Amino acid sequence: MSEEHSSDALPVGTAAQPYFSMADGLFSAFMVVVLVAVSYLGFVTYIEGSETEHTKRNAEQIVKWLEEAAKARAEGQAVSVEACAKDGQAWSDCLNALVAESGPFPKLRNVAEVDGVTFSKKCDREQLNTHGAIILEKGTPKPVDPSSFTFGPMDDAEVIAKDSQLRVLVCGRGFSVIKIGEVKY
Amino acid sequence: MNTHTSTDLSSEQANASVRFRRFIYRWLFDPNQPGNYQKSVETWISLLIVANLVALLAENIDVVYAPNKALFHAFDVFSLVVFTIEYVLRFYAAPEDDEFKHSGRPRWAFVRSPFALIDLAAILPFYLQFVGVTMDLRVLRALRLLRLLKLLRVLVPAVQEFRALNRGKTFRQQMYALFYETETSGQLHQLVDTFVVWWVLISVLAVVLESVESVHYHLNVEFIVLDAVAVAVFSIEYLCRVYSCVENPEYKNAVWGRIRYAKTPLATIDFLAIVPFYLEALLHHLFDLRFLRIFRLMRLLKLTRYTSATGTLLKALQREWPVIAASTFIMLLMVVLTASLGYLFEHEAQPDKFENIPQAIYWAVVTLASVGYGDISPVTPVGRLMTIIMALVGIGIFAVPAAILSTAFNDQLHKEREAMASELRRFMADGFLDEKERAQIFEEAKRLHISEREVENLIEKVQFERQRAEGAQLPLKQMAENPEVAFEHFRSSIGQLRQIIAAGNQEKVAQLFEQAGRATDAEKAIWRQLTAR
Repeated sequence: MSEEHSSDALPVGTAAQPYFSMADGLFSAFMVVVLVAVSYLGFVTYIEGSETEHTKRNAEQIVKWLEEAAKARAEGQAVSVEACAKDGQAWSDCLNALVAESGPFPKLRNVAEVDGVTFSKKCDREQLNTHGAIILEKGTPKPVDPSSFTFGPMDDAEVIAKDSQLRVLVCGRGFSVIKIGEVKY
Repeated sequence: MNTHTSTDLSSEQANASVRFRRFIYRWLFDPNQPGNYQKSVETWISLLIVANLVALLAENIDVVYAPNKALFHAFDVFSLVVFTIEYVLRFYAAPEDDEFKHSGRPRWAFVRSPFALIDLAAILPFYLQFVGVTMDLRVLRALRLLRLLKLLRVLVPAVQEFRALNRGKTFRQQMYALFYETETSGQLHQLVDTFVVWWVLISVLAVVLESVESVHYHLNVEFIVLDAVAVAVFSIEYLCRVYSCVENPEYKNAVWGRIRYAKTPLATIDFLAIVPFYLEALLHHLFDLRFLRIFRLMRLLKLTRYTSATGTLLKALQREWPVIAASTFIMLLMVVLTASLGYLFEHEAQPDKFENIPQAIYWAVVTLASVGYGDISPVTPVGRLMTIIMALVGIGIFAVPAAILSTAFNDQLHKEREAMASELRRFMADGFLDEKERAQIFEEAKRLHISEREVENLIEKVQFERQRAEGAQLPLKQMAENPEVAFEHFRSSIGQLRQIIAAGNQEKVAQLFEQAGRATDAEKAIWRQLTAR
């Protein structure tokens, strides 16, 4: 922008000092660009936030199902998904069965990433497909206080065991981990 | 005999009614009546309108609205009652309003006026339900947005005033007057400042609440929207300030002036207030930039622009810096000495807590500053004895900088107030304080947190000092230009004459007047007039 008039220069309206100069026009255009940029970034952030919310709602449904299934197991009743019913069955099979066509959540998918995984062991910035995934962690009792737990990723070979302490998380916007709930299965 | 006729009585009642109506208008709505409640009414109504908008937005958040439905409804009813009372009072007092009083039917003119139509639209949908007009709840909520238009009652006059004050100025000059304090800034600049301040407070509150997991879990999207709007507001403000700063002679150059402005502390704070949003939005896939959210708390520092207290504190700090630096040096010596002694006496007994001197420094500062968390404490007798001595010494040493700063701050404030008083004496050297000088003094008083009452007292004091010191020399030039000044001085002079009469021996003075050649006939006549009972 070129150096221009100051407050005590020629009166406005003369050819030398118009009310709205080219610099003002360029600045106004720049402001519009900035506003559009902020609006766009805000919109993108809002969409990502909405996707995270959707993922949270999905994870809440998983938590609710696990709570009901845990109650059914404790009372000796049947669990609706066979792969999640008995001790010794793999957790990976159970989770896959939950989102299978015949499962209770056939339409549950990763809404944040097109090629994203539905379930993941952890929220990993280096693996973009974990964004929007639901994470199931296993709790290990602390030696000093067995009533409190240290949670960590579940191995592929991890199996269902009586009174397993589980924590359900989601991998949200910016690969931030959001805790949804804990279940004693 | 009863002399009052029915016409007299109804005339009296009508006069009483007109007086009451005039009273209502002058005390609540007249912008030209000094000392009335018009500004307060306007401010509270504006705050209520904004609160309505916040409530409307909150009603769309299930987790907030569902448990508090009754409260929201009660607030809506309260707002309606207030707006209805406002409308009714304005309708009643319309014949006193300069805008409508000359119309043949002032109240009808009021009803047809744009602001009154907006006021009516803000309350009518609620009342229509009582006459059988049913509306969908969402439509009702949308119509409540019309209440925002009531803010035009404050905004439109401010814009008109701004345009009048800045007629003939360029776009950039007007932008400068809008964002910086100038003589032609007017009310609109105050409104812009108030708007920015509110957004600073809202966004800082959002950052604080976001750290509460239960709140953040339910209101994540709302916080995102809030932050985006705040960044848009702050970005516009920042860019406008940088663009128009060249109107200030200090930053005259188009490029280097702007760069110099951008490097100032306030501009840097403005920049840091918006950068986290852009960085996180663009780079969150690559880096974990959540720590940048805490930088949003820096927005709180933007508020230092709107208060002079920080400037006064910085001046005090600058003035007392050598003394503060010396006391800081002594504090550091004490800390190192205490930490070293603590390590020496406690290391063997508590090797985990007094592992080394740097670790002991934490304990030394906590002890000397009289904080005493208790997580690390001495257990040996010598260690405890040393702690007792150092803690007692520390109270004195650590309090010194605080005392110095507090005294310097008070002194600085006192100096600035004295400077204002000197400025007032300079203005009143001609015996008269004109409107411009008065406005300047009150502006400075506001900056120094001096009340209007105190300023009036100061003006009276300076007037009295001046009269005593200079023998009330008459400002002949001002009297020639301003009949009001002449009138006031004439009355003041008559008052002084009466004081002389009351204080002196009237009989003896009267004898002096009767002596030949001592007084003219006119002077004798004035004496007789003033002493006549």
